Amino acid sequence: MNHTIDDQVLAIGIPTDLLSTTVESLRAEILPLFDDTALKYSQVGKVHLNLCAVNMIDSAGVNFLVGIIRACQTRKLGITVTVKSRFVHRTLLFLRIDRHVELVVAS
Amino acid sequence: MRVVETHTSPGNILGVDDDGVARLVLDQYLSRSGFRPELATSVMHAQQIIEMRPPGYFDCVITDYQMPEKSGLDLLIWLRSKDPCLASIVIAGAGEKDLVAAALRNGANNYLDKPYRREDLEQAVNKAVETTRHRRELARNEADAAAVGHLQRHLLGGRNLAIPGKVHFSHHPKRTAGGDFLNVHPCPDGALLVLAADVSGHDLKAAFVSAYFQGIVRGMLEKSTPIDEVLSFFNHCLWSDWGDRSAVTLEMPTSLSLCAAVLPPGRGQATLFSAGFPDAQVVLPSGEIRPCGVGGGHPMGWFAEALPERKTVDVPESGWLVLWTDGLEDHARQLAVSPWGLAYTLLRRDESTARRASIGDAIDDILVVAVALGSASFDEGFPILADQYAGDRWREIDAIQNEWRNTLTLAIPALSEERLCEILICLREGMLNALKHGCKGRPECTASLRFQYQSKARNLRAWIDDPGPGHGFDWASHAYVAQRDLLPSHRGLSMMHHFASRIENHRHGASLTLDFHLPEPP
Repeated sequence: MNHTIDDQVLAIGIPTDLLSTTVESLRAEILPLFDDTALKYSQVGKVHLNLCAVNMIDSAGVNFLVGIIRACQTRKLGITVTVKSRFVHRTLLFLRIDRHVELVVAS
Repeated sequence: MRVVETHTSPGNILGVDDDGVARLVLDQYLSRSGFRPELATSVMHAQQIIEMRPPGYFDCVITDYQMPEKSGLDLLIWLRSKDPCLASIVIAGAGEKDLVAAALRNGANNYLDKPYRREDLEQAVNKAVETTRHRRELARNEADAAAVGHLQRHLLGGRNLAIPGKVHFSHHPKRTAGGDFLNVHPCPDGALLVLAADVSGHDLKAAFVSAYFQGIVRGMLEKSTPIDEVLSFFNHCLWSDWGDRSAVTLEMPTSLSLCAAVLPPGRGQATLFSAGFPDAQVVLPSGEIRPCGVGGGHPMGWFAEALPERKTVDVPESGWLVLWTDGLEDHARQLAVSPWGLAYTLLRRDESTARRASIGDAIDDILVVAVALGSASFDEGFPILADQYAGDRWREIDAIQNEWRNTLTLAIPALSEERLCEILICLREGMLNALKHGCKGRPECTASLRFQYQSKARNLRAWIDDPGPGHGFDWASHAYVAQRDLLPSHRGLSMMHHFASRIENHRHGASLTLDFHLPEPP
């Protein structure tokens, strides 16, 4: 996982598939980024989650994603999710995740 | 018959040089060293001499590099296609290192700097003659092996094509010829005898034993000898004729693993004879796979009185009887695919099969045989994966899923990446549920997964079974609430129902049948 904060946008890149076997370590890495004090200090107003390297996502991966969306909503942060894989895109559409985030398809 | 050649002559040598003095020196040096030289004044002259002589006459060519019109390099390029076994030596002047390097890249075996000493020439020519003769012997052996392999393939094809649609097989010797073989014999009483065998080793010796046994089997069966007597006789041959019992040796004796199936007319039951062969398996019309329970044991030829195990098994009116040699399982392991997926791929035999299945990298001979029972056909369905997983293997789900991916892409190459992901995620969700909940993660409990590909309907059917009590989870109601309220849990069943074309569940979901329609490739 990599992240940057630039112009009040927290950009998070996920380098691996979102699966039951990968989400626990990702969760442990991402959790500190949503620390309220840190977010306030850096004046973050929006989160950009880059899933372009994600080719497969299972239910544990979806639940992980939902956890991030809820963390953003609780903190009143806007969230954009960028995907590249057609399968990941179709999964997020079918689960209506697009109603809760700005879903962007990278070319 | 080929006469074994013994080379008593030092060799016939062709020398090529446009310079008269150089030719004279070469002639004298070669003659004094006992060789039989002939001399050409140019490349074209050398080509004429070689064309006039019988193939393989010369044992070495020595050529000057710099000559008018055509160079020594031109001659080497011509020789490489004309007589690739013929070794050559290039003679180059001082300061022509680049030219020598080019000559060596184009097949020259050695080079001599001008001026050269007679001893150096003799040593280089002796080595070149030896190289030529060694290469020619290897080429002859390869041609002989290819001829054996050709005969073997002819024997297999010719014997089995007599029963189209009934007996499907795929045979891939590791080398040009091998020890695996198949014999299909329609018996006078209407029964069909299918005999698959694997001779130890995968070389010409194995091919010879294989051919010997095929001849014995065919001859004895055509004289209506019962199969158990045929097998008993051959065990005797292996034990007494070919095993050296007088010497105490740790060498492995020649042995033969086999499985013979006698399928009487009208079917219902089959009699199997098996010795050291992987278990035969019956595929039922439901797609279920039933091992026949005759696998293992020791092969024939190890012990004097050893006979194959005999067993009568029920066979369905429609389905498959499948036999394969252990080479198939070894290669499937190497490719990280299911043996069923590899078997299906080889049996379908399209043009790119061998390349897709990387048959050239196989470590053993491979033979797979599928006998269609009743009206069974590949179009209606054939297993491409059947496996059982211990409950504690949920931690290895990525590696397991990778084997499913490899198997599906091997057996159904036109499957799109998007549809493949959908299928894999459904199977992953189903199998994780089976292992974690159905088996409670316990190693002594197992869950099973089977795929069957129904090519006519373009449908992949999967069965997931676990021994648990199932669940009472109302996934449809949950799916709605989960979408509305962003609940971070329990989306697996929603995804499975969305991506599968059809799901049928039994025992409260402990037994699932999933259909995946595969769209026509664009």
